Amino acid sequence: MKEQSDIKNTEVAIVKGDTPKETVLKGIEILGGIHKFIEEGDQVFIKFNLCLPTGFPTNTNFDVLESLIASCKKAGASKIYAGSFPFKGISIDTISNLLNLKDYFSNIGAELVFIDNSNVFKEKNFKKDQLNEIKNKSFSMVTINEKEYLVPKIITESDKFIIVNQVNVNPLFKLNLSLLNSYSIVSPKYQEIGSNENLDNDYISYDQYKNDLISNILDVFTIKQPNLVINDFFYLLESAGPYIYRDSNLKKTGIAVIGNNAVSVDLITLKLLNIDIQDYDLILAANQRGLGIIDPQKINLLGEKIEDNNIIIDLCVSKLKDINLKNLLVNSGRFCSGCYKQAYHLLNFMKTYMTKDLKYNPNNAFLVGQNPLEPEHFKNILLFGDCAIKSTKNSNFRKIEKILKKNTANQKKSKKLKKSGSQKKEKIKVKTNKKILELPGCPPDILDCLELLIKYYGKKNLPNLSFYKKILETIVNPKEKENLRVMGVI
Amino acid sequence: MINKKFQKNWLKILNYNSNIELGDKFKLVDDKVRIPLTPIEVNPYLLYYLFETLYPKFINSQQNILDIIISDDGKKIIKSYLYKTKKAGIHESIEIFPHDIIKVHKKDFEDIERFYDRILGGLIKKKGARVSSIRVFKEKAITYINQHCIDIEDLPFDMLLLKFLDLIQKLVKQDLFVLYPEPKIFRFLKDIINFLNGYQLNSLFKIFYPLLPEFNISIIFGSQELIIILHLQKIFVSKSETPYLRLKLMLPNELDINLDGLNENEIIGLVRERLQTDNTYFINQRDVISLLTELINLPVNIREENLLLILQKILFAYRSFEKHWFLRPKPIIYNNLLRFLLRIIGFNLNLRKLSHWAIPDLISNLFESWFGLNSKILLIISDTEKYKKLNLNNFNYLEKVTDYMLLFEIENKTLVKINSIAKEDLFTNGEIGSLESIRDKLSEKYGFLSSIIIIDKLLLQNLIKHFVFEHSEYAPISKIRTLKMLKKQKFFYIFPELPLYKLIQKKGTIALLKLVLPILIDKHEF
Repeated sequence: MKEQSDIKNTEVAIVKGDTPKETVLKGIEILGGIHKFIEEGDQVFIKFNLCLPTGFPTNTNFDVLESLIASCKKAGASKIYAGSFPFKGISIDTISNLLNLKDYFSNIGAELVFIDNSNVFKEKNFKKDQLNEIKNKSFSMVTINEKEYLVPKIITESDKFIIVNQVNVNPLFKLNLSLLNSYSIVSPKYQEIGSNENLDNDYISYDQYKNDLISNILDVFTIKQPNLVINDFFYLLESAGPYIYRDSNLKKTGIAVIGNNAVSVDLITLKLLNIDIQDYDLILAANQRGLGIIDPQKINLLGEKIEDNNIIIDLCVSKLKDINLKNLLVNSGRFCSGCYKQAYHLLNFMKTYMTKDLKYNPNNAFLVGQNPLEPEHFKNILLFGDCAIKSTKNSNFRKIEKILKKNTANQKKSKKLKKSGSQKKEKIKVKTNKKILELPGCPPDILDCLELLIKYYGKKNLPNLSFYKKILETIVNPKEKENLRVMGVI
Repeated sequence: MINKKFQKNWLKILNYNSNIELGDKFKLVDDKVRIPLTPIEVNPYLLYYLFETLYPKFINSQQNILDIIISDDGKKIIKSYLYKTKKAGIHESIEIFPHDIIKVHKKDFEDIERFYDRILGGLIKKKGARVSSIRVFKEKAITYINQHCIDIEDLPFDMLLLKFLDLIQKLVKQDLFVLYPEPKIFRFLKDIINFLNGYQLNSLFKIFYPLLPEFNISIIFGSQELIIILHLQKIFVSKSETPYLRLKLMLPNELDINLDGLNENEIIGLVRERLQTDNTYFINQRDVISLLTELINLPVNIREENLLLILQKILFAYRSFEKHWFLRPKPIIYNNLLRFLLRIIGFNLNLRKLSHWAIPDLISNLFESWFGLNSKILLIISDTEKYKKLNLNNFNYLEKVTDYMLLFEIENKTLVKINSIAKEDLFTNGEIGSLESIRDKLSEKYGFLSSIIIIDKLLLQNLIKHFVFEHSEYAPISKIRTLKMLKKQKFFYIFPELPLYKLIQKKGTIALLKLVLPILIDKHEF
């Protein structure tokens, strides 16, 4: 099953063009034409970004996909499939319906693959064992480094595998590059990283979450290495990403990097975007595992020169407090990459979609990680993640002191008689602070957090979130979620 | 050379202006003049005041203007006129300017800055005078202006607007008129015309005008110096098949209104009574000018954030009822008892607390999330009223009912282009079958089409009538009925069906209102 790419003959083209479509086609031509990658009668699987049912650039540019599919057809591909696993909890069928992708792909000569089988189980009420049967038919279990991954057979059985990756900024890896893209050939369930149940200090110190994640990404990458890799950053989402947030900005660079090795394509992309590869752990680890070379000198570079294209982009903020939300103070303790990533998305979601809610509910403190700094005089305290919840069990803010003034003399009598000088004693009563919202998980799930926020603040106090929740309900169907669970997708 | 009637009217204006001395306050005469290039007759003082107020703000704030008419090939000067102005914009005397002072080169029209410098040099040297701006017309521009002026006296205002927009488009598109220094308003106009990419300004007006309901309103533009009354009507004139647009500009004393000691509400009451209008508004001239100034300072390729800022300002102005604007009859919606009763049944409808900051935010978030930062959206304006029996099961009916198709191209939250799509380009073989095929066809030419929005004229008319013209009327049934139209595919459809559209379809109108109103209206002041 594992295929080793020919890293000695790595070729990468840097292309500039007037349109994304033209740029990608030009790149393929520079590399020797599509016939170099696709042979007559090949079954091709195109892995693209299919994250959410939202607009560009959350997903791959459809113009690019269209031109690539047309090229594959021209080269004589017998069947062209396209697909990816989306964001956790959302089915491909939902995205396809909301963007009308099934018909779209069919019209341009390809087939959108419902690798989560969501198109099958929406038609009929299947029993659990029937769903398991469908699962066994469509997936195969692959073991790599003693870890098991459920992989759609359609991908492993395809003759050619192409990755078309939309480059956006990413909070954990700086950029969404093709290596990261390849990770979503396995379902969200198999993308998850084990949690730090024992609150092990080393887990955070060594950022075990990120190390495990990198190891898993590379494991998955070795299942099916791509024949052709496209990093499209003709338009690049910068500042906040990889989804569209308030601070997101779309930068037009007019460039795409295309090649036959994902590691090299990612490396050249990083070079063009002025990012030191020493800061990109995924590339370094890939190199250590012999999946690609990190010396540009050893890559056969075609097209534009790196030094002629110096692109400066704004990456995601590196500190959560820099997301800068109104009425919400962020105190971070020691956290792993898992909590950082999820907190980054939750805070950006709140900044984008919950402005009015935050205005209605002032004085919030958001604590994340182990032993965060204690907030003072805050009305609401949000504890994000198991580390923050457990490590603050004995913190001062968990208790509130109430000073009670008590009259020694009978109060009613004294009121009637209006006696002056009745002796007063101060009494301090310690109560549990109920204005604390715990958002559990290691790391917490965003959708669950939103539910808990509504429960805690109340619908009336969160007009924005109540509205968006109703919209989300049109996307996330509980029954569908259950089926996805049985299918092993989530 | 120039149209006789235009010339006569212009000289009359100059004559009036020349009789006003600096420091003169209010000089009313019984005579009337027409606003140049229009049939609108106004008191000469009103026109004087408009020039005095608007010209320095929007055109040029310095004195003396030179008009130059050159041949179409740009080789020679045909005529030139010097207007000496004591006040910027107040044209009071006209002087034929000797040709020998200016020499024209073929490229002057392209390098107007150098041309201006040369004129300025010659003028100072030979006449000891300066001009602050030059207006250069090609001969053809004069021909177009003359054509425009023929029989405009009897035209209804809507027809006049069509002609006027056509004239502007010709002058700009064919480079027949240059103003130096170029005022921002002129740059804005030029940008709009270029942005429309060949689409006619008057075609846009033709789309928009039929959507307006019949109305009879007056707007009082208040200021310390002079109050101006605008009477605007869209009405059926005896036996006419289509309603006409009528516009009158007047001063209070023309309606026998003495303003001494009257407050805004009293003025509105009197104007409404004299003009017999349905609604009368009072707005400060200062606010209108400030909004217009901001608008023309924006780039035409308008970025979403600029658009939202303008929307924020408009909404803020709207919520400032009886602070920044007044309306009579006073809308019942501002009645505290009614609002209290509505609140009891779960509707907080306080227009004074309209969330001017949260509404643009909501629009922007919904738009960016579902359409993306780059998108191409096809807007189809249909007219289903023309056909009683329509089979809505497939989209073949679109060929019959489509009136207009506009394709909006958005790049990084900025509207970069509007393309008009001809009906015959899309519905060639009569069969559409699905909207996907429209998407497919247009995607070939323009790139991936993100969405198709079909909106019916009747829905637009109802939205404009009930939510713009009757914005503050308490008419829940008609308003809810209009909102219910959003749920019918015949009137409103978004392809592919986005989550928001699905929510509109799924939820009852009242429940949806209850969900959205807390975002639209603030709970308390901040």
